[in-house]
Amino acid sequence: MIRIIFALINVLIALIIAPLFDGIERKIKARLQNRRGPPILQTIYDLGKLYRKENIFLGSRLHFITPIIVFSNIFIALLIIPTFIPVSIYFIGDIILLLYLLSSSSLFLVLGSISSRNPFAITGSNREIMLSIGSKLLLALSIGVIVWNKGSLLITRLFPLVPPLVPSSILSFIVFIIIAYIESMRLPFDIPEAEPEIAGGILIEYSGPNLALILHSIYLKRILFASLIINFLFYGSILFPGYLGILIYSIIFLALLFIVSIVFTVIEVFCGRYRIDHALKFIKNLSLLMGVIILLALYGY
Amino acid sequence: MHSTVISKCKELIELLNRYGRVIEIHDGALLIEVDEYYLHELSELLHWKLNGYYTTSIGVDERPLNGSFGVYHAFVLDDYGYYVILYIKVSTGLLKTTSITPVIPGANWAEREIMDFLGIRFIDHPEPYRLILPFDWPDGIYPLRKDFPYNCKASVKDKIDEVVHGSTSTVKDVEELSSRYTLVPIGPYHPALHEPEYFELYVDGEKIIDARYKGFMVHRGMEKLAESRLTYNQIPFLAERICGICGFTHNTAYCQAVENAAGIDVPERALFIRSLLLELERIHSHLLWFGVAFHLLGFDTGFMITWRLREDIMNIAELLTGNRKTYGMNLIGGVRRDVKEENIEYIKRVLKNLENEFRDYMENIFSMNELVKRTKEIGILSKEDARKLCVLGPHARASGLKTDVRKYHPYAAYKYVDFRVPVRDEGDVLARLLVRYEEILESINIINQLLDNLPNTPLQAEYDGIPEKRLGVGVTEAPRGEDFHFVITGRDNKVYRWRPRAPSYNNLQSVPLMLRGEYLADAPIIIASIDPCFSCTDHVIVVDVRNGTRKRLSLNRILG
Repeated sequence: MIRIIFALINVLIALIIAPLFDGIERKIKARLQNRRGPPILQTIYDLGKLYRKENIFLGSRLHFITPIIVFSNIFIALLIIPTFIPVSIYFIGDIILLLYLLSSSSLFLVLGSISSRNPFAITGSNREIMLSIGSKLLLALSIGVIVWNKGSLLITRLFPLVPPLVPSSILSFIVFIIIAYIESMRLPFDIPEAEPEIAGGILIEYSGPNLALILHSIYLKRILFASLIINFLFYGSILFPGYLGILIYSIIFLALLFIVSIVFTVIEVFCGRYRIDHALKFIKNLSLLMGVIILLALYGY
Repeated sequence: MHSTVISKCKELIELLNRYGRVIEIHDGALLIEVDEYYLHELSELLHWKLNGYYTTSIGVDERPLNGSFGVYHAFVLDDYGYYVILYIKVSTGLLKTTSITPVIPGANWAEREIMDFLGIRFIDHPEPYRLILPFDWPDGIYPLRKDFPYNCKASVKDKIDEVVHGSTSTVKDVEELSSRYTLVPIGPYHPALHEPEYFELYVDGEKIIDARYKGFMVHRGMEKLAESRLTYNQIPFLAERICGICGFTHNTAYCQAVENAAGIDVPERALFIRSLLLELERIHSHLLWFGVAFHLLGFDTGFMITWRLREDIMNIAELLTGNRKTYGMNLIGGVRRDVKEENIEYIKRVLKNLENEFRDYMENIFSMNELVKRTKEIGILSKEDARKLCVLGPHARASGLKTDVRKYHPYAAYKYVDFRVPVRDEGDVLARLLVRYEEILESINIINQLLDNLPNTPLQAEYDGIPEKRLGVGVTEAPRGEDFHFVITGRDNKVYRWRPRAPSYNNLQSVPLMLRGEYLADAPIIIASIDPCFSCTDHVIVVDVRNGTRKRLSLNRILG
């Protein structure tokens, strides 16, 4: 029972922290581009305003309901992985559920977007599908290799990455970091929305609370992937006993999340947007590397 | 060498004399009154054989002067340094003349504009549809005729004809396309365009199958306004407002046209100041364009950097003119403010810093792999197509055409400075980026030369009225290409006819061609690569535009 409460607290913190981090990222980006930038709380203000707005029904029920599905998918996924407090709701095979939730969130986003029948949304969905087929497969494979090396389908047993110190685990962790970057919809991979090209693409027909839900789930997804990266590196190794220990752990975790987000932001500042074929080529090359890693893992390296 | 040029020009005049009487209306501009019968032959000679290019056509209602309409086709001969204008009289009874579009495809829009505004029909025009007037404009009312009062509000039609105007096809053609491919509308309002304009892209997945362009949505009736109620010295301030980015080049061209027509000699210091501001404006415009281009490529850091550099240029402009943009400096016969000696050092220092910083940034940016990948071999316009469509400025120079008004028809103070004209043969978006990059550096070089050699003369020419019924051509090299102004002087201190033709008018016609077969993701950067200035193109008439009803229909069909 206490585990469930702690996991819920985790997600509630993430709900606030995620837009806050986006605000900080915007500020960093602005400073790197010779701009003053919006206040750090801007993203929270934006979301707050969007949540309070009227929800517009465009005539398609699927379009109307998918943002909630997308959001709840990410919400549940966050319950499964340990974040600020190192507890989670776990059971055998939860890693499969996590992968399922992540891919179904993309799928529902695309479904909702397509059902608006806007040509820009269709183009954006087209791109999102192409991109996420590649990246979701790689995500599954890279986690799969780690699962194979660890010999467990329980997500908390996967953390931390070492021991065992095997090259295939390290390499697939690197692939995982790249996928985390792609999945968090950052430049040069924000092709499905690409504001100057297709005017927001998959997001174009959403407004008000529905748009807020989708944006919020994108921010949460960023936190989710960053948490996974941190867990792979440090899970359990910095936990002290007692409630004070948990507090210290939370603070360290937050600091690490912050570092990941800064690194990703700095990369983003120095990038232009890929065209979809360039992005696919990039993923293709990554898949070749992944193939080699799988072979390595099969032979026990 | 100079004598060979003169003998060449004599030969040219002799050659042209065979078709009609050649009059030199002023330095560097020839007018020939020709018979329609020779029009095709002569256009072919001027555009293709003599290596010139077609600039624009102007229609004039000359009934109060000589009882007929007039059509002027203007050609540029870079090799001879001449503007050649073919003048055709169109009788009021028949109201038709021969079209030159079959010989020079670039004449398409200009002739349709004359059809819209003066009601002169062009025989054999391949697409005799409306270009500028909206669907609901009543038939038989031609706004640029002298008997149409400038303050008249024509009552719009209730029923809208099923005529596609502005696009390059018939209705049937469009219907077939839109039934087979997804129509992606870019515009009239789209984040990639900063002005209302409409591109219709037919897309199969991510590939663009076909593209249509529809413009002229924000006409402002400048020509009519200028002819009807403004005086000579008021028009420079109207002309400057044709465009927010390259306004100064427009009023310089206008002033030159009137000065040429009236034979006014502008003092040298005024010419130097004009050149100085024109080059500042070019740097400003190119930096702004770089920012927009980077933004479209998703590279917002480059966007912010170039726009910060642009801030320095605006500070200099403020120091020189009192305005950061829209300088308001030109009058006929000179300029309104002097350059103070104590500012020269400051300007040079700022430009030196800007040059260094700009070079550094751009070298880093051009070494960015994904940016080069996004621009290389994208939106190619071959040299032949560029010639055919009469594209201008950096757009033409990136396709291997060596054309620059500053070099071949020197105006203002350009004959006193030494500079290079960057030309590239690739014809892709990257070439356009690089041409503009080099042009900025050249402009800084020109400004330094101008500041070093400022002569000491008055700022204003003394002149005694402007004679009527004179023709004048004023041409400048705007940041986007050749800016052509044509003036016929009138009585009561007013122009009889003023026709500005901004470079984007010609350049935009090449966009649908460049878009075909490209990726949808590249469409914004291809459209932007010509640095389209829609406000320059739309300057003609005030109408309450209700945009294409038919287009909305076809979109609805897709939406089901």
